[in-house]
Amino acid sequence: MITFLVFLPFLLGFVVVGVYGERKIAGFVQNRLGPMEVGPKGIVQTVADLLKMLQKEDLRPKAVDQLLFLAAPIIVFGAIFTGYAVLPLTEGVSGSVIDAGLFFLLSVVSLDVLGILLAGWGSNNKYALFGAMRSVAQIVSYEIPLGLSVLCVVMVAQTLDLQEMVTQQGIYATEESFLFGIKGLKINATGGFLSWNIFSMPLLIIAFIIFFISGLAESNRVPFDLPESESELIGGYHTEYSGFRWGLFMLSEYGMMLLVSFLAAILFFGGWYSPFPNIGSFELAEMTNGPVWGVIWLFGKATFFIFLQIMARWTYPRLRVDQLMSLSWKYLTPVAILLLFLIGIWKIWVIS
Amino acid sequence: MTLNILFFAFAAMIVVPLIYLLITKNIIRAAFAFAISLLGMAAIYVLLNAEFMAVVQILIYAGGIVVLLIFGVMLTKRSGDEGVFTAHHQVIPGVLVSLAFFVLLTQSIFDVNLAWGEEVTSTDQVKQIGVLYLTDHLIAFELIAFLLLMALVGAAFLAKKSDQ
Amino acid sequence: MSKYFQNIIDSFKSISGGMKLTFGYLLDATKSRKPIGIKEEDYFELDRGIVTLQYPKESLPVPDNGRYRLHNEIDDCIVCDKCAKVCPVDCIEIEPIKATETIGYTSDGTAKRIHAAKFDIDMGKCCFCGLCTTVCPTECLTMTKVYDFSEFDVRDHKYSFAEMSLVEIAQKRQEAEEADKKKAEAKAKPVAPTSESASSSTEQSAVKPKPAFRPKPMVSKPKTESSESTSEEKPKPKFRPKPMIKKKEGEESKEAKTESTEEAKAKPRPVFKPKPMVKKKSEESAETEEKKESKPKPVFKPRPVVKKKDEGYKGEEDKTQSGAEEKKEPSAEKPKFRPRPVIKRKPKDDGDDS
Repeated sequence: MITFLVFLPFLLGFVVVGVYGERKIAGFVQNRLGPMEVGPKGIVQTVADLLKMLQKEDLRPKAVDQLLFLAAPIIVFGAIFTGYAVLPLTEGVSGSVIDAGLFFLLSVVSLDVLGILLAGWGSNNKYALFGAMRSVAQIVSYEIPLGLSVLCVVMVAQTLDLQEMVTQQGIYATEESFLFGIKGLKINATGGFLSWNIFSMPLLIIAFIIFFISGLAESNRVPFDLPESESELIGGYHTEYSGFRWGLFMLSEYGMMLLVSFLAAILFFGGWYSPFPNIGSFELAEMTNGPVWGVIWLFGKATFFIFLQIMARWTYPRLRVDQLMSLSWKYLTPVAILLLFLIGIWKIWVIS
Repeated sequence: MTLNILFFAFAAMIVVPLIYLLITKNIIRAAFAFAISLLGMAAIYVLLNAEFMAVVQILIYAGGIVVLLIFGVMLTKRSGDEGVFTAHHQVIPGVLVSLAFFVLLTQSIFDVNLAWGEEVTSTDQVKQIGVLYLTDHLIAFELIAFLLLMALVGAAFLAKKSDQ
Repeated sequence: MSKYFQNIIDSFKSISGGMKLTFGYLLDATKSRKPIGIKEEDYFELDRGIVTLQYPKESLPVPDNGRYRLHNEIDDCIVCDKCAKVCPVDCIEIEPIKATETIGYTSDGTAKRIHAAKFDIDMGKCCFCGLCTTVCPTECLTMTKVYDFSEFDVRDHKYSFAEMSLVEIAQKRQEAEEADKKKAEAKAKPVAPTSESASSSTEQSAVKPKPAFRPKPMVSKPKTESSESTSEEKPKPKFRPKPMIKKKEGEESKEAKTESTEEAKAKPRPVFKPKPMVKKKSEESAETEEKKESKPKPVFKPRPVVKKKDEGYKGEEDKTQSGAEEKKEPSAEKPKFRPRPVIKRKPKDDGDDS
C-alpha cells in the first residue's frame, strides 16, 4: 500500500519535475535558459508537454504483433515499479517486508529486459529490434557488476532487508559500526554521515562508483543510451510507440533512474538517516532524525543522485558498443569481484 | 480462503500460458507465455513463504532463461509470421512415451503424499540456505561452481577470434 | 597490463575533467548576459554565463545606422524613379503623375515636379542591398534600424508611402493630361527651357560633366557645358539643346553623377515625365539632334555600351563618393578616348569603397 500511496504519486510527480529539471540543467550547462515560457520560469512546461502527449493518437502500425506490442510498455513499467515495493520509506515504515528484499528488487527489475525485448520484437521494425537487442545485451551485462557491488554492501550489512540495512547506518543501529572500518573508532553514538556505509567501510566508495555506473547503464541513460540512441536508431525499441505508450517507456526510464538513486542512498548513504552527527552533548542527529525527517532525507538524497545522473547525461558522449562491453566485462566486473574479496577479508579479520 | 483463491489464480496463471505455449505456432509468443507461467510459479513460492525461492525463480528463469531463449530465436531466424511447422513422425511411439511419462509423474506425486506441512516461521531463510550450502551440500555447491567456471571458460574460448 | 591500469587512470581523469567543465558551466549559469549593444565597451567580455536573450522581451540595441527596413520621407521625395530602376529585385513600385508646375520644395531645396500617386516598397522582396538609398538624390529614401517587421500576411510587407487620395490622384491625372495636350499644341513653338535649366545649372554644372562621359552620346554634351574647352571632338554649339536634358538629371539627383549606364538608359524617360511641356519640346528636338550627332560617331558608340554595363553597378553604389574624383578625371582625360576614363573610374571607385 505504501508503495502505491507514496511512491507512485512521487514517481509521477518526479517525472514531471525531473524532465523540467533535466531540461533546465541542460540549458544551464549549455549556456542557455531552458524552458521559460509556460508559467513562471517555464515551470509548467512539462505539464503542457504531458497533456500534449496524452492527447496524441495511439498509433498501432499494421505490421506489429498486436499482443506483444501492447503488452510491452506495461511489462516494462510494471517490472520497474514492482521494485519500489521493498523500499523503506522512513524509520520503521517500508512497503513490503521480505527478508530477501534487495535480491527481490534486483531480480524484478531485471524483468524489464523482457518487456524491452517484446517491444523491439513486436514493433516489427529493424531499428526497434536493434535497440532491443542492444538494450538487453547491455542490461544483462551490467547486471553483473551491479549485483556484485550490491553484494559488497550485503556482506558489510549481513542482511538483504533494506530496512534493516538502513537502520544499521546510524544512531538507531543495534550492531556496532566503526568509522573507516577501523575497530577502535566506534561511532554508534555519533551517527550522522560518519556512520553511513560509505564511511564505515571505505572500500565501498569504489563499490558505489561501480554501482552508479551500472545503474546508469541499467536505466539506459546517457552515456549508456545506445538502445535508444536517436542519432542511430531513431529511439530504439520505442521507435514505433506514440502517445501514452511511449509515455510509459519514458516513465519507466525515469522510474529506473529514481529507483537506482533510492538504492544508492539506501545502500551507501544512510537511507533515511540525517547527515548531521551528534557533536558531544549537542545531539544534532537526534534532532534531525524521525519519521518525517526520514522521508525528507531519503528523497533529498535520491534527488541529489538524480542530479548527478542528469549532469552525467549532459557531460559525456555516448559509448560505442565495444567500449560498453569492455567497460562492463573487462573493468567493472573484475574490479567488483576483487572488491568483494577484499571486503570479505576486511569483514572477517579487521572488524570482527 | 483468500490464500486458496490466490493459489488457484496463480495455478491458472501457470497452466493457461503453458497450454497456449503448446498450441501457438509463434515462437516468441510461446516464450512470452513461458515467462508468464514462470512468474506464476514464483508467486506460488511466495504463497508458500519461500520468498528466496521465488526471487531465485524470477531471477534465473524469467530474467535469465527466457531472455536467453528469446535471444536465441531472434539471432537465428525470424519465423514469427509464418509460424513453426514440424512434421509429425512416429506419432504412436511418441504418444506412448508421453503417456508413460504422465503416468509415472502422477504416480510419484501421489506417492510423495504432499500435504501442508508446518508453516515456515523462520525469517532468516537466506542465512539458513547459505549455511546449508557451505555445510551439508558443499560438494554440490563446489560442483556447480566448477561447472559454471567451465562454461565461462568455454564461452570465452568460443568467443575468441580464431587466428587462422 | 600496464595499459589496463593506464586506461583506468585516463578514464578517471577524463571523467573528472568533464564533470569539472560542466559544473563550471552550471555555476556560471547564475550570470546572465545583459542586452548590451555592440557599441558598449564590454560587449566582447561577456563570454561566460547564459547567453540567451529572450528576444521579444529583451533585445540588443541596434546601432542608429542599422540598415533594415526602408523608409521613404514622401515630403522630400521628388519621384525621380531612380530607386525603382536601380532596385535589383524590383521591389519598389512608383506611379508618377506629372504636375503642371512645381508643387513644392524638398527640405534641401530641390523642386518637386511630380506627384507620387503610388510609392510602394515590397519589403518581402527587398534584398537589403541599399542601392536605392545611395541612388536617392534627396536622401528621402533611407534604411531604418527597425528590423522586426514580420507579418502574418505576406501582403502586409508592402509599405505604401504615397499620401495622395484617390480623388487627388484622379484630379492630378486629369491636369497632367490637359497639360500634355497643351504641350502637343505648343510643340511647334520654339522652346526657351534654358531659363529653368539655368537655375539648376549652377549647382549641377560641376556634377553634370561626370555622367556625360560614360554614355558617350549624351555625356559629350554635358562636358561641353561644364568644361567646353576640353571636349575636342564635339562642337559645342550643336549640343545646346542637350543641356536641358542634363539639367533635368541634375535636378533629380545632384549626387548621382556617376550613374552613366542608368542615366543613359533612363534619361529618355525621366526627361519626358518631369519636364513641363515646354521642356519636352526642347527635349524632343534635342533627341533628334542627338540622333543626328550619334550618327557621325557610330564608331564610338559600341564601346560605351560595354562600359556602361560595368560602370553601371559600381557607379551607382558610390555616386556620392566618386563625385569628387569624377570631376578631376574629366578634365585630364577628356582629350583621350572616352572609353578609357570609364575604365579608370571603376578601380578608383572600388578603392573608395574599401
